[in-house]
Amino acid sequence: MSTKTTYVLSKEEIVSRLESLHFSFEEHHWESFQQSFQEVKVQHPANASKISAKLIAIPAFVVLAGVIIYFSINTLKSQNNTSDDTKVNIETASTGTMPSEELKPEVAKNEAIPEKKTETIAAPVVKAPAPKTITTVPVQPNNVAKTAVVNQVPETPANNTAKVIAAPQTSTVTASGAPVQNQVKPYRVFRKTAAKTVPAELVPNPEEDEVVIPEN
Amino acid sequence: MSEAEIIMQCQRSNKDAQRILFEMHFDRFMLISMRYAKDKNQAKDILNFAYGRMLNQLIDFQKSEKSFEDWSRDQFIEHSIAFLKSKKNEYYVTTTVRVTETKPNNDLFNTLLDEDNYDDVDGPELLKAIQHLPPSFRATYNMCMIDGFDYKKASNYLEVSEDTARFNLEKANYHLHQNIQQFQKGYK
Repeated sequence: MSTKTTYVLSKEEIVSRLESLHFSFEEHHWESFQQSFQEVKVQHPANASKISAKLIAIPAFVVLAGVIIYFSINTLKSQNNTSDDTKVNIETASTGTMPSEELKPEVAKNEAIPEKKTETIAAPVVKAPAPKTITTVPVQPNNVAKTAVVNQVPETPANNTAKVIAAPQTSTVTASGAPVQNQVKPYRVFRKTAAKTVPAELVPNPEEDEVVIPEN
Repeated sequence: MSEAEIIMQCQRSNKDAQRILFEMHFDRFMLISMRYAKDKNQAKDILNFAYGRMLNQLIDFQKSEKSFEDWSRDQFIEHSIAFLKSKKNEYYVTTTVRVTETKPNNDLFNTLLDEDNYDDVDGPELLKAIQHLPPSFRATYNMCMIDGFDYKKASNYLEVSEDTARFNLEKANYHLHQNIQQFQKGYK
């Protein structure tokens, strides 16, 4: 089957009639082109390297900033935690008991934490007010210069495993009964108040040291 | 400043030179855009798109042996078709709908058109009739009828087979005939 379609106009006629059309340049044509040219320029392959550089640089900068912020926040948090520990230690030392029963298991599990606490309380505990109960020990009237030092340890709960307790009251009493000094010193009870016992092997036996002279 | 110097300055992204080149060839570029577009607004979009792409590819002009007029015309046609194909909904869907609507009432292949009726068709009317063609028909008609491309080259640009390009040209002629008749009836 052959087609009988005839062209509407020949090529020459079409071109000649279309070329009779003229379009005048106006300023807004150039302005609209400039606006759209920026988009075309970005899409061109020649600018692909610039685009990829931007795509890499921007996320890298964001990640770097995030890391810096993260570490700075962590630093601030650690500083805040240190100051909180100090406050707790001050309260614990002044009252002589643990703040609450709920803290006991945590303290018992981690033994490193109380060690840290005892080191931080040294300076502020001196200022803490101690209970003013003074125990007077009777002194011999003839021995005027003799003084007695009594250490009084306040009672702690039986289950309290904390190694730090309230500072005991130390009082120096003269022969007349008047207190000379009232000093408060923090220390570790289980170390400083424990009696030093000498092993039995090291104690000299006077019976063994006797010299036996053989009778000739 | 000669055209060669202007082109050289355009390669160095000189805005003034780009503007001079745009103004020098505006009439020609706008006519190509109007032929491939469906209306004046789309023609402006095609003009901006194609001229921007052409400026970016000015370095290829030095390698080619063509004159700037021929080279820029080919560039403009290529980028105009790329613009039309980027509008996928318009380029493919519209074509199908138009063909389906017109097929039952007309025998497309056995229509004898009377050439004597088109002597009084002027340039604006012909341009309007071309703009009212479906996009794929319009592109084929422009390339094969007006710009002088053979079927092979047109099929490469449009990414269709040569038979499809030939078939689209026949259908474009028929639709152009219909459009002109409608406009003439409307004027009367």
